[in-house]
Amino acid sequence: MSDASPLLREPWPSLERQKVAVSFGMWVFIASEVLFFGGLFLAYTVYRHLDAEAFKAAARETEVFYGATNTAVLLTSSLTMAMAVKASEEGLRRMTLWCLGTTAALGLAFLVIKGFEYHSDLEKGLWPGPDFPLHPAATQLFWAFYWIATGIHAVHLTVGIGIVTVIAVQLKRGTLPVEATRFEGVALYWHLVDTIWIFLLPMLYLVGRA
Amino acid sequence: MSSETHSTFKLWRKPSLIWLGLLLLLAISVGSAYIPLGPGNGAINYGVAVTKAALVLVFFMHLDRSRALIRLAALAGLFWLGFMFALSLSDYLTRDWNGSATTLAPAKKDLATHERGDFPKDRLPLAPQFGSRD
Repeated sequence: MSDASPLLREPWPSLERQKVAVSFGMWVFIASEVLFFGGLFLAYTVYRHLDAEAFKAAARETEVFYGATNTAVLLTSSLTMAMAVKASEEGLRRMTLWCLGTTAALGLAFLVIKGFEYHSDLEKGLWPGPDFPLHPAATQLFWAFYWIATGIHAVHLTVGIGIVTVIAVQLKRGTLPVEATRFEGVALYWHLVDTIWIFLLPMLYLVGRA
Repeated sequence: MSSETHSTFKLWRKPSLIWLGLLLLLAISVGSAYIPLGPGNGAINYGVAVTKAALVLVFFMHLDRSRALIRLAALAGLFWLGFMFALSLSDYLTRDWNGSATTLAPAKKDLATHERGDFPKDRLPLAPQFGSRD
């Protein structure tokens, strides 16, 4: 049996059980994250419904070019993350490293693009409060949601970049074997952050464009 | 060497196709957002988002080859999310609690016969603050 494997951790009796535990634990965490972001999305849905015209007027001011570009960047990072897991399963150390590095770089690219977008938003004065440039007042509800949702998403992505960088460095230094079970757990988290953005795109950028 | 290249190609093939599909769906949702389709815009946008999320969940997050335990854990989050939306929206979409019209309930002023005796119109607790929104 694989019990003698250096990859095996307490308290798992076998590597197979450990692999299931990594995925299971991560999915339970993801379910809690789904409900966390779900609460935000529900609030958005209710206010969008109560103030449909204000939300359309407010959403027209978001930068759809940055939003769409960032979606493509994140979708691509999900591809490289999925390939990192595949490569690690095949024992391809160099390819795993390359894919992890690209994933972290694409995550950083997302944050840089988001920074340009935030700068443009702030130049337009789209921070809710006195002298808000848009009317009616409910447009501020949309922009409050924009800052909170994209901010929390960016925090999640930053955490993801950190974790991916750490396991890439561990793999490079040889302290983490390429067959380690934690790649799948990290990948599941990364894809979750991507999936949340997939829903933020139509909510923030594609409303009231037609 | 050539067999190694071949196996690498095989490794990339399916995920790359899914990635191309995701980018195509992105183009469809952004492009269609500029075509006036009325309620169709929202339907396409959220339909595409659900499809994209399903592709990521099933293929990138490996639900296609996960055991039942993992699939149940993944579904549990969506199950309770469904409850949260269904129960909350059944309230917000049907009750004119703030005095304005909702999808499934007409505005308060059209509902004179439904007004409750214990809340005279001029003393409705929520109407003055939330009735007019500007």
